[in-house]
Amino acid sequence: MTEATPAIRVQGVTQAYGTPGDALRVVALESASLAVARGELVCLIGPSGCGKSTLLNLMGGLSRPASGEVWIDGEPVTGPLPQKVAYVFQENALFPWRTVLDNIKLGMAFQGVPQADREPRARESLQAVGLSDFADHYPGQLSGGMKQRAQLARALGLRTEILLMDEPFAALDEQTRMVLGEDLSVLLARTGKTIVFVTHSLVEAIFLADRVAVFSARPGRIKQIISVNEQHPRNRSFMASQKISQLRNELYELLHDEIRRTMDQPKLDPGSPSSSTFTVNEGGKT
Amino acid sequence: MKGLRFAHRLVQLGFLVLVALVWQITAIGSHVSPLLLPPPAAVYREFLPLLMTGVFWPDLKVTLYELSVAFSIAAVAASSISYVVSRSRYAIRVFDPLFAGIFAIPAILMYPLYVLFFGLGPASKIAIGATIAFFPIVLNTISGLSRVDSTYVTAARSMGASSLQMFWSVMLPAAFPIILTGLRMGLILAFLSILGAETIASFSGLGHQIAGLAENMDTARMFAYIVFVLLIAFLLNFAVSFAEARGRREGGLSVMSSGRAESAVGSITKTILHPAVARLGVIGAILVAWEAGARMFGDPLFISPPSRVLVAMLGLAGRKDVIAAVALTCWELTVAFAFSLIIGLTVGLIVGLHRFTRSSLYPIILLLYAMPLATVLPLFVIVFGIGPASKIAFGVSHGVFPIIMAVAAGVQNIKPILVTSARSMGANRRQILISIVFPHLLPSLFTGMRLGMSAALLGVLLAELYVSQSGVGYLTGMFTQTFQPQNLFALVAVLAAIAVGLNELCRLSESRFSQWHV
Repeated sequence: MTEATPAIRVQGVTQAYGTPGDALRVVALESASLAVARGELVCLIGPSGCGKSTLLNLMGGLSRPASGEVWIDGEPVTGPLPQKVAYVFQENALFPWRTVLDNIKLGMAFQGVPQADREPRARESLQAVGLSDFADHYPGQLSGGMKQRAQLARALGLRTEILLMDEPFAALDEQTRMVLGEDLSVLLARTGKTIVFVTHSLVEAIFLADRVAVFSARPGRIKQIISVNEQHPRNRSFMASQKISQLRNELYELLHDEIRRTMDQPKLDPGSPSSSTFTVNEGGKT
Repeated sequence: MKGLRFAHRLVQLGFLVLVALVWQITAIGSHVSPLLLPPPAAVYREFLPLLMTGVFWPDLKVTLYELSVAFSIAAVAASSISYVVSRSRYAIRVFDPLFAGIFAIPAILMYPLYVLFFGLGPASKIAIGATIAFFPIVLNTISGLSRVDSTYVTAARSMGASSLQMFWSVMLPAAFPIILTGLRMGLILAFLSILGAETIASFSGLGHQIAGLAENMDTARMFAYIVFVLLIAFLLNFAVSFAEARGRREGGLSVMSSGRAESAVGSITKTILHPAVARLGVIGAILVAWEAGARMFGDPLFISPPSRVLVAMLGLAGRKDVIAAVALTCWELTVAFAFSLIIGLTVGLIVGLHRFTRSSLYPIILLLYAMPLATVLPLFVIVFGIGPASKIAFGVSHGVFPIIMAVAAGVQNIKPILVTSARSMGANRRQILISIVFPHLLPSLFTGMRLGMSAALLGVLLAELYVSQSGVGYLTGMFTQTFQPQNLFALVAVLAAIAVGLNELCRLSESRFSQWHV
């Protein structure tokens, strides 16, 4: 493993739900290839159902591809990698029956952090997201923005090199989202983590990403990759710059037809592979 | 806000005062004999010494002993079984409908059998209580464990949770509110059925005491005992609800009964057996084990193998008295159900439609629902006689509450935005009621009707078992006393089939009329 080894590499990955030959088979993702360098933030953007989240779950080993391969640090991925990859989900994935602090500590317990280290590390990551005063609150008592910061704190507490973020700010209002984006950029500059970030927002993608991977409509393919050459941490002045609006227009041009196509497609079956993972053997899944 | 809460309490208090007043006036003013309906004051005069002298102790101790043993058995058995079942989605689809189906059978029907096996002492009450409490616990635990939000599971998996950690730190706490609801329902049902069993046939316990007082026409004292039992039931309910509220830090999760769990029929693969086939296999295996066990070890006086039950069933089908009894029970059930539906719908709408009536009246409904109705059974007989009227009335008293509660819940779950948008398009109150409220209500109304149907059947059978000269309940009692287990089993099987059939009928119409309700 050298500096040149990408943190994440995806080669010709296809994912489909349903058995081959089945009329109802849905190809969510088709021969996607992508390499994410160390310390890089890559945004995945595309119309709904184009396989962005699917790709993210393949990277983290939460599901297995129908074909193709995924490597983390040059090692093929065969299952979840809690030591290397941490997640931030769109929905509220905090356990509502535990306080914020206990949520973070539980994540570490799952990961295998010794008991004595958990408390100080959890407090540290709470401080990093500015939630120290809310350690003993239950998730239900927090605002949407605070919940997502708490989720981020839980992910940071795992001290992984890679962060996978699945539309983490999608449920928030635009102002909150922009401020949290600035915070994330600062965090990235400080910690040098590798981040893959799924989003629907054009501006958010450009503001955060080193590179933006644009997906086509279902069956999803990576249509084009756009580079944003701008140092982290980024701030309001970058948000106001010509560069952002230029790139935004370019991105919209690329996405426009794909979104039109998606609007004419039927709703996807809700049975995503990650939803049936605990109960064993439902069968039929390739 | 505080003023409003005070107003709710006032309405609730007013309701109690009104009941007492109407009672007092009818007791004194009308020609009803004080033997049938003693005035509240007389009951109060009996109630005080009852509390002071502590004569209730021996009976209360028996009832509570039976309750605690029955509940412990049910809780341990149900939680271990549901743990095993919920580990596989396939097993859930095999067993969940099976348990739900058995739960729909009025278990009190088995009581004559239990008396046959366990005698008239506490053992038969413990057995019936445990049997009845088992099902809500097992159904809710399975439903809770299988419906844990997949986000939590995925999140825990991404952080590397082991299988044990997943169960202990994620599945169990996530399902806890629903499991608690199951435990509460189990405890209450065990209490009610034990009281019912004591009323029907027993040597001791609170139910036995009340039935005895009714037979001696000592009505004032009987009422005092009933009030005492209501007090106990209320305390029990309060204690459990309190524990439940403490256990559920994060509210919003409450599933009263499962049964919808298997409605999502996903992709059925050819590699494994269809769950319905496997379910039949399980039932078949039980029958085979029963047949073998009964032939080898059973005393034919107490237990019959399924083959002999089948023969007996064919024999019963030709007997005029049996057909007449089944017809009578079905007729009583139909009338009781019709009354339950009309009353339940009306009261449910009144309670559910307005925030004020909801907050003030709903607690009263809940309280009445948790009332041990079996203890007032003697009262029904005193008022309505031993003919069909008392069976119907008792059936209504059981069937009406699930419908009220389902209707009230269905009405209050309407999204305000739907009503607002209808109003913006110029809908008037009547149009809103017909076009928005009623369709929205339909799915929960059907659920309520299904639960109300089994409850009404339970009420009718309970009344027939207690005192009757006709009907199915009467026949089961007779078959028990004359040691004809094959006939008893056959009759129970027929009734179970009727119960399951009605349940399925309601379920079918439920899914037929609420397809949009995904």
